[in-house]
Amino acid sequence: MKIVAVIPAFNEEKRLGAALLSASPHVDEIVVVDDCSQDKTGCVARHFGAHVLTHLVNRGQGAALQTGMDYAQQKLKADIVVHFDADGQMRGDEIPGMVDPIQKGEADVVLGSRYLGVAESMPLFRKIFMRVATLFTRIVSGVSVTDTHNGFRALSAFAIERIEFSLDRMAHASEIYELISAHDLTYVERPVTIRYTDETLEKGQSLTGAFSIVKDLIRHTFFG
Amino acid sequence: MFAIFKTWKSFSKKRTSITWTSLWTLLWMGLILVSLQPRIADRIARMLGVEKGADLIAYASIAVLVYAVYRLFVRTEQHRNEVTKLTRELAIARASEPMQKNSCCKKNICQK
Repeated sequence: MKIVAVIPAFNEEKRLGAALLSASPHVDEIVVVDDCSQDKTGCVARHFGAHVLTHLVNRGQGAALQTGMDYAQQKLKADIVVHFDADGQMRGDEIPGMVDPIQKGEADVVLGSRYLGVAESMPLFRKIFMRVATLFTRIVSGVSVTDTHNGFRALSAFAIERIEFSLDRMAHASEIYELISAHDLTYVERPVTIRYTDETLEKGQSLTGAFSIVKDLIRHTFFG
Repeated sequence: MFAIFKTWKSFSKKRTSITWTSLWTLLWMGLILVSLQPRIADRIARMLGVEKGADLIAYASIAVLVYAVYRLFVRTEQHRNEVTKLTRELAIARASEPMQKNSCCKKNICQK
């Protein structure tokens, strides 16, 4: 089965190389979607042998993932797509464990869970916040997960055909549960490790980011 | 009168549809009529159970503005989706294969 990693990246020239090195031994191809970075993100991605797609306008992580999935499906004929972060928070050696249920035909979607696995150096505030977000997701989507807004995922070709993010920014991470539920896709969770560093925390989702997600969800519901 | 003139000028340049041109014309003509004959507004207001014509105009204005804002939100959302689709199509059409280093480190052409 052809495994393609899709990595959305925005201003990640410093961390992207490590992420690509970590993922590349475990996948057949890597697609980096440079979401209009102002640094040399695209250059780094090319240097490490990735397919590089450049958004000429910054559209957000959800849009970048969708672009990468479309490319992986249409051009690379991927059997499995793995969503992987550009900032080095995830471990490439956990990709085989993520794709395993799909290869065995046990699930259409595999969702990484840092609560089944390890969340290294996760701040207390974020722990509490993520627990609340997970509870919210369970109630709204009806999908029973232990972790939400975890970007480490694996999707089968069957799932890729059905999942299409319409929320461009971070709210796609909530939308995916609705799509899984709407299309009756089978899913399992697998333990993963997420490493937090000062750099990734600085760039990651903040409380204002959370408000932005809620705002996007409301906007999509009423005006989308 | 100026607004009606501008509306029809816009229509003649095919910038607005006949539906919107007619609606705007009716609105402006109604405003002219009410400002010249305020009693008409009072009469319509009483027919609709509102005491004063001025109140009726205020209520109607709020309703129209709320609807206009809603339409603007919907239109903005449509434009947002179209920009994303266009950006995606371009990105896929111009994708660079692995190790195509000659295209590396070009001047950044992104539109923030």
